[in-house]
Amino acid sequence: MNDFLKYLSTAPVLMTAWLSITTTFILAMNFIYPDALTFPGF
Amino acid sequence: MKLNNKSIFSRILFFAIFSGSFLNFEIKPANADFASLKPCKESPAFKKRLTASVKKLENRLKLYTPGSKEAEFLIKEVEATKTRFARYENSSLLCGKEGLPRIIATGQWDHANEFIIPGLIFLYITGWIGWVGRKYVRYASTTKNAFENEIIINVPVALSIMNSGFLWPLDAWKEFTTGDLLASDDDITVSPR
Repeated sequence: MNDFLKYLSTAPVLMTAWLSITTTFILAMNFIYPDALTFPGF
Repeated sequence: MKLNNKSIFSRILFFAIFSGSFLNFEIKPANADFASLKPCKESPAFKKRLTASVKKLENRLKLYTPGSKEAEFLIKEVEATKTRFARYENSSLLCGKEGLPRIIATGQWDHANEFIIPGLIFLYITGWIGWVGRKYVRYASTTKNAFENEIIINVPVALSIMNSGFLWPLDAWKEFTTGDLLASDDDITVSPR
């Protein structure tokens, strides 16, 4: 288990996980609020 | 050239004043400075674009049986197009002669939501990333196995550093005034010349 956690903590694995989170977030934002040309709320 | 804290500070101050002089606080009509642009609401070419895009989608819609998956998708697309145009129309966006909206990046406050605010958010987020990255690398250098800590990330420590970085502009300023932000000249290796 410890070795597996260590594997998950290596830079390439963490990078893949983190970028997946970021892309999901950006995709979701563009799905909920599409065509944002200006910052909303003004 | 030797850069000490004082000269760096005066440079930052100079740039702040220099860039600040471009900000325009006067209240004028939205297109006062841009003779060739007019608010999208008043632009006939913009309205023409709306009808043209809707028409294009509706022509495609005719090709499919009503109620089919493709027809449903196209109906949704028409709705999205109308909302998009309505949103641009109700904002302070200015349109060119061809009816396309333009982003004004001159630093005027009445167009702040087009460039200044997204720009500041961008700088804040990239600054956050850089700040916590630097903090982690500095933390790693204090550990026994510094090199390994940069390849195999200590996730709990990294997460706590990431979460503590949201006040990075203040932290950076504090480090700058205490002299911790910049390395002293003696620590910078210079190739023989």
